Amino acid sequence: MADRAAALAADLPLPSVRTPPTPAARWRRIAAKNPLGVLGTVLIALLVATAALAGLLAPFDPVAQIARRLTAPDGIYLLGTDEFGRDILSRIIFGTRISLYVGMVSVGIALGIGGTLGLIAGYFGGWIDNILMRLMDVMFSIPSLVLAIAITGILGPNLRNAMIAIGIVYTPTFARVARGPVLAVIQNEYIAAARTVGARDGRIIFRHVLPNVTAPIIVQTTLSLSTAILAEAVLSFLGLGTQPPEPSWGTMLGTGRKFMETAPWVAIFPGFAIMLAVLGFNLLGDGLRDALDPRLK
Amino acid sequence: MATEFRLTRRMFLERSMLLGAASALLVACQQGPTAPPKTEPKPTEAPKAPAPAAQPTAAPAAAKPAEAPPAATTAPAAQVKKGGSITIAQELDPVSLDPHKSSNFSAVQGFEHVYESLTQYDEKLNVQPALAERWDVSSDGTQYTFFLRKDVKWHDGKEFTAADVKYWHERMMAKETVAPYKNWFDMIERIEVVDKNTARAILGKPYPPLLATFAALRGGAIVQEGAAEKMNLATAAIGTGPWKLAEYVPQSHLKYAKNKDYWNKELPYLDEMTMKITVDEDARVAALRAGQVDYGFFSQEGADRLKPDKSITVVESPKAWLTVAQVNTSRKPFDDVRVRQALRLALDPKEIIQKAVSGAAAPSGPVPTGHTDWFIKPEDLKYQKPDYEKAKALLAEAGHPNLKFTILSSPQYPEFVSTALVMQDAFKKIGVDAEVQQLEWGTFVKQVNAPNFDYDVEITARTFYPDPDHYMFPYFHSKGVNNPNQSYANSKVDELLEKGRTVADPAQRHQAYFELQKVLEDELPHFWFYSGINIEAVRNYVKGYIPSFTGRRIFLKQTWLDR
Amino acid sequence: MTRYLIGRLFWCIPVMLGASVLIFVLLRFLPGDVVDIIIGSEGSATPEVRATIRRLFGLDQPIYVQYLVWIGAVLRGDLGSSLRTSQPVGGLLLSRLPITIELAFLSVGISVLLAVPLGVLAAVKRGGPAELVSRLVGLVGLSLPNFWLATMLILIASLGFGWLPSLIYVSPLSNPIENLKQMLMPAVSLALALMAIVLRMTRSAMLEVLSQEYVKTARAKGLAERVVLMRHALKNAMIPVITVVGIQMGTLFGSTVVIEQIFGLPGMGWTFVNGIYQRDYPTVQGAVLMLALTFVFVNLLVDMAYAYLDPRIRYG
Repeated sequence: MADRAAALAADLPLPSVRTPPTPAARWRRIAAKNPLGVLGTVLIALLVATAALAGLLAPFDPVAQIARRLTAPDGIYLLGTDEFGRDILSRIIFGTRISLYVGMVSVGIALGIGGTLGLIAGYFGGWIDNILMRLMDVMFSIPSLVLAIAITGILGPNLRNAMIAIGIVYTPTFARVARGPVLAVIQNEYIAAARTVGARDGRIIFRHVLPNVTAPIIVQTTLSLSTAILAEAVLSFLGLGTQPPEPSWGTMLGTGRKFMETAPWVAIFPGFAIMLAVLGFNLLGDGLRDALDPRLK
Repeated sequence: MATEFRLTRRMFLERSMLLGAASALLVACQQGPTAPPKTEPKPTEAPKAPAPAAQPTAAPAAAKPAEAPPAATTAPAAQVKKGGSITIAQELDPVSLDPHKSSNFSAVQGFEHVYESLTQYDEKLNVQPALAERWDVSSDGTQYTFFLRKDVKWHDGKEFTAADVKYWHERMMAKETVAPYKNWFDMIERIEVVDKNTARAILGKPYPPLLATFAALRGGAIVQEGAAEKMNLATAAIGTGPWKLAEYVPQSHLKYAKNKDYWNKELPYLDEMTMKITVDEDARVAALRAGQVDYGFFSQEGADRLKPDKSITVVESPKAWLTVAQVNTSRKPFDDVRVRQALRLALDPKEIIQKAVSGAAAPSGPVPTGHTDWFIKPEDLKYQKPDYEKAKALLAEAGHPNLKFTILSSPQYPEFVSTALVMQDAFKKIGVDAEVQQLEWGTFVKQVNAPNFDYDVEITARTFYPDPDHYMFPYFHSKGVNNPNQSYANSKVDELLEKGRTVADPAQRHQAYFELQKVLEDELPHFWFYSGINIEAVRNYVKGYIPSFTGRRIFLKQTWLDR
Repeated sequence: MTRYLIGRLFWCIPVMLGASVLIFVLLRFLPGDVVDIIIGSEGSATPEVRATIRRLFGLDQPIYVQYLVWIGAVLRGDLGSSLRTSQPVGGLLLSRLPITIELAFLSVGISVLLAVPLGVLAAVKRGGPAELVSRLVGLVGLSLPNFWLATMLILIASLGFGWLPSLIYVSPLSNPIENLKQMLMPAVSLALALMAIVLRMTRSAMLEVLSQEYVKTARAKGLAERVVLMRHALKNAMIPVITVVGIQMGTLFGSTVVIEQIFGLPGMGWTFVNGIYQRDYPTVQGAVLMLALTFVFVNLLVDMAYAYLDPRIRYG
């Protein structure tokens, strides 16, 4: 799922430079036209709040084996308990932290490395572009999950390394997303003008190029946040992600699978949590995309 | 919670005492509010028998289904329907079929129907003749003369002779083979071909477990002379067994065809057998329900799902799957017996059994519960009840009140990770901070095995080994190959281990190994938790299948279909 | 066009070489090797025995020597043989590749068939309830990890309908119907995530195309709305959609790893991961080369599809 929607950049035009009315009014208009985007924003806000207040919200210690195993949801354990007798609600609440953390760190890595490489490749062009993008092709051509398995295998399976692996796997996507618009921007005459007056490359990139590629990058970032959560789920399912007993939605879903018929609550609720988070980030990403695309106004 | 644990314990005692006719006890046990009552497992063809009343002892003989079908040779021909084909859901992907080069149990599951050894097991783990119809052992125990069956043909039509036995030994011993079970046979110095049908094994020193070691078929499978040079034994097989390997598509399936020239003219009953490699348990459950497969191997959860289905019979029986925590005695403070005892006192095997395998196991000592008459009965085991106060006192006495260490496991076996998690939670109660770390399998075996021994505590399991010697000598003898840096040394243990290897008299060996296990129970170089229960399920028309404590499917050869 | 194709093919070579170096290095950094795996946790072997077999496999050589020996053989058409089973890797992988390719193409087919109409609907009925429903449907598919979808499909099919496709892989050459039945569930579990992506792409591409002058012109000419949509808008909107599908192939191949195991399909993904777990270097290296080649080839097809869909695009 690493590289989905990379091509979004290809069809996302550069926002034309025009003066908006007041920002608040503009966002209100956008929100009115885009109820799903609003829903996404609300979902993500709720997730962030849950993660921040996990300690207050969770009724129990998420790793303590406090109850009898596989208790069905009742008045005390609102979402039931798992095979170790741990409270599922508390685990989901604390799992929010891990999921958001994984999403932000791994996407941050991808954005930092990939975005920079894409900017450099697009701006300088020529052999630099060719070499960098072929390097990205190399990484693209190895199936993402296989790459992640190898990386976590070498670094050792734990949450930090899973985030590094996901970040590395997503890097080429960001490189491509960033490079596309840069290629278009540098065709503009004002860039050529800036170059002829002897402006330094760094200055041109920061002053003129970067502002024009933020829109596709923001969109890609929100979308990648959602897929990073899924990627962590799959890695944890394979035992290479979050280490037990830390609550990871992916691990909960993976181990809950075998109780699907006999104690369905073990897997259903974490599955639902993943779904809401992924849905939230996707709707937010789509909403931002529509909002930032001048042609769709 | 207190109530709950009392309940659990009682049910565990029940379970372990009765482990015998594994079945009956399981009926009585209720796991918890969610677990459906256990049905009564039985050999698949037996008429419904009333559940045997609780027996105070777990006699090994009773551990096998009492209503086991008669030995194949004497089976009343009228009852058995011959012919037909069976499909088996194979839970592991046999990476290689080479009978000498693999330590994977999945490899045994793939080749065990094709190859045979000089001896074999019956359903009660008695050693019976196989390729050797009888044998003589010299009085000093160093020469075994095997008189081979004269009516055995290889699957390619060649005659089986003593030269094949000699070839087997040479291949096992060759360095290039890298046979993981070489040390089970390296006391055999050479095989002499006395005549075409007589082979003599010359041992450097006596080795009483030898006959059983052949029967275990781990490294003991006889291959045709020159086989490794003329074919790829990883993917093809020419054996003498009841089944010929007809087709092998790795990661997909194995097909076996009846060996019409099998020396036991009665067997096998079926014409054809297909093993469909189905690693996902959900897929196995679905396939058995849909009737796509006739046999499958399951976890307790899988069995709970299958039991409501009236067309499926679930068979539960003890099996050798001894889950242990190995404590690295070459590291401080684990060299201190008080620390080991303190840690062990925090652990409740019953809780581990519940949480790691949903109750499908029995508490066990160093030799897995149910292994003929070699094991300490579960009700006689020590350290079955946690004592946190005593544990804390011992830790304080040893000078390690706030101990910190890491427990290693591999997600390859989720129950190891679960065991580690229960341990971690229990250790908190005595102020010990354990971190659980899971490693990918290749990394895990590299790190914990000789020569690295890089771990504090690791969780692993032992499958079926033919003799108590195999469960203890390599780990606890001061010169043992798997004794971490040969750090664990106890002269009493050494003495008893050596006695077990040299004394031929079964009663004396028996006594030595019991005494040894009693010593080890307090010494605790390992923590032994439980031995597993084999949970197999078949469509009701599958008859004659008998589970084996070895975990192998030896008796598929006398399975038939009533339809 | 030909010159462009030759250029693209030329660039495949460094990409594949790069992929082979990358996986070669990664594999050798993984702790443990095939000898450790063979001995496992229960067996035992002396250091001398371990050293002998490492020498036999050439694992005692410096890594660059190992690479040169291997790549030299590959250039002569020999992918080596498995360290675990001694089978020639080339033949083994060639028997696995078609299964994975069929699975990948089926998933792409299913997702495109479902997503494109939904995406068009979402674009045409923008802001209406139809858009809401179609996008939500698409996103739910994306929100579930594929291993979970696979489990649910098996459960629903077997419990709800008492039906299950054959678990033993049937080649499409011997029985195409049975093969399709068997591939359906794994393909659907892979297709749902892809469907959401294609749906989003279709929607945004259609929105863009519909605002273009030539669509307005076509409408003004009085062409039926259906004709405008299908003939003019959709065809042009397909370009970014196809791009995204091409890029997704790499992800799809990765996802097959889990799905093939659950459904017992002896494909590349499973072979690949088993190879990593077994430290069977030649198998993994060969698989990377083949998958990289497939990936490059698929993206070449994507480029050629551009030229077909948009006559303005001419290569070279």
